[in-house]
Amino acid sequence: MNEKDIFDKICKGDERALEILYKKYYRMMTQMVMKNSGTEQEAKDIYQEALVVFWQKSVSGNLTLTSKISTYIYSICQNLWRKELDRKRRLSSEEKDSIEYQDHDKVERARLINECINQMGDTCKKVLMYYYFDGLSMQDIADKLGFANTNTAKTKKYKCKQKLDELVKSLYSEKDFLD
Amino acid sequence: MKNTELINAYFDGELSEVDKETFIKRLNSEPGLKKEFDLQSDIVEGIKSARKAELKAKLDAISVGSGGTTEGISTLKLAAFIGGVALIATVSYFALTGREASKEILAPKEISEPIENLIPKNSDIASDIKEEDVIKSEEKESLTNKNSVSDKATSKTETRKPEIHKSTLVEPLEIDEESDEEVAPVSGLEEKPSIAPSSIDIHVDDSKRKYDFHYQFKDGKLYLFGSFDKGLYEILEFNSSEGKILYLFYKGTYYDIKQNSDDIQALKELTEPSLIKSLESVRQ
Repeated sequence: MNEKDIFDKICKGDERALEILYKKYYRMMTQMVMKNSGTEQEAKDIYQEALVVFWQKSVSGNLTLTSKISTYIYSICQNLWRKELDRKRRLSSEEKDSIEYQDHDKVERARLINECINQMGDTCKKVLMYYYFDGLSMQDIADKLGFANTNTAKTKKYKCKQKLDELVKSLYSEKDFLD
Repeated sequence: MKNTELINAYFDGELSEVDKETFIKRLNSEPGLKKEFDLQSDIVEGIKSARKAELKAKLDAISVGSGGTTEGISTLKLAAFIGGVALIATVSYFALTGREASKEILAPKEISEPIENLIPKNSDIASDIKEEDVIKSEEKESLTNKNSVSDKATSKTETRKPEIHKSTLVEPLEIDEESDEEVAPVSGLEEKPSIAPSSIDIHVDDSKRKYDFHYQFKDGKLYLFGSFDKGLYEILEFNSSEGKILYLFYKGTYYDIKQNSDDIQALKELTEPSLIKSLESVRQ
């Protein structure tokens, strides 16, 4: 499968093409991080993060590729790794405590919401993820999930979001989130 | 429009620019709306994070080789190192009996250690290479053992031809970068085995007392002078870029055998620890 085929498939939301891409450039991307004082695990994390960014931009139709895929992903990896190195530097400075406190609060809230998401059915999760993260249109969501038409997808998305809101609000008091 | 609907419309990108500006102004002045907005913002972020985690988990489940990059390469490098050191190892063993009177000629005891044993066994290498789409590995393996033994006897000299083991050996693995890349190429692996049969005629001569424990390399034949029939000896043959290198192993000691002269030379014991260690590992 050549680059164009891979890109076309990714744009259509084919996750297998993403997997092929992952294997194809794994060594190149991870070596860049490892050669710049990163561990293998950090390198892997950065590469996966970069691919997810690439996926989101491609599948949502927000990416016009003017270079090779590898060049594009490589630059994302570089930027992400620079940010990570900056973050590490900041953490080693005096502001460590306050950042950790804020992060902990944020992480805890994210964990609670994630718990609610996991309580939802597969279809609901997919509808919401495709809509909010992948940026798929209602037509694409209907096609992917086998809904009759865009109206069905739209209704499904509305109901699923409503259900998630209720779940979040029922599990956690308003005080937990809004104070 | 209710606050929740308004917020959802904002996240869905359904508000016009004017409505969006008005909405943002309201956020700054209405704490209740702001709180609800923050909650919805967190929920949307939570959905995005869940999708990211899902995609990452799928990627994480993909096998790209043992330990990813470094571990796999290290294993290959190790195999390459040993393959490089021992391109060819032909080992001949001669067993003796105690019949001194007749000096019965015995067929050399064959030790045909599979060459695979010289290479660290790591099934991951094969599986890794198989799994990676971009990495192509070809390993042509043919292992043939041909033994030819011919025994000749004279009254004082025993001439023995060692078993010749034709073995497939692994050369250093080449890591080729895929030319597809501009920034940093992706590697592919090619493993090029070679078959390098070897045959050295070895003659033991204990008739020349003047040359006790000497050797001579002449016309591709190795003559050993001394009472070698009283012990077990091995000839280790290696191919290198500079040609063949021979070593003799006798009674726990390694000796260098130079081939650049036809003269009879005294066997000199090897003293370099690293070389002895390498030879030991190959022998075992």
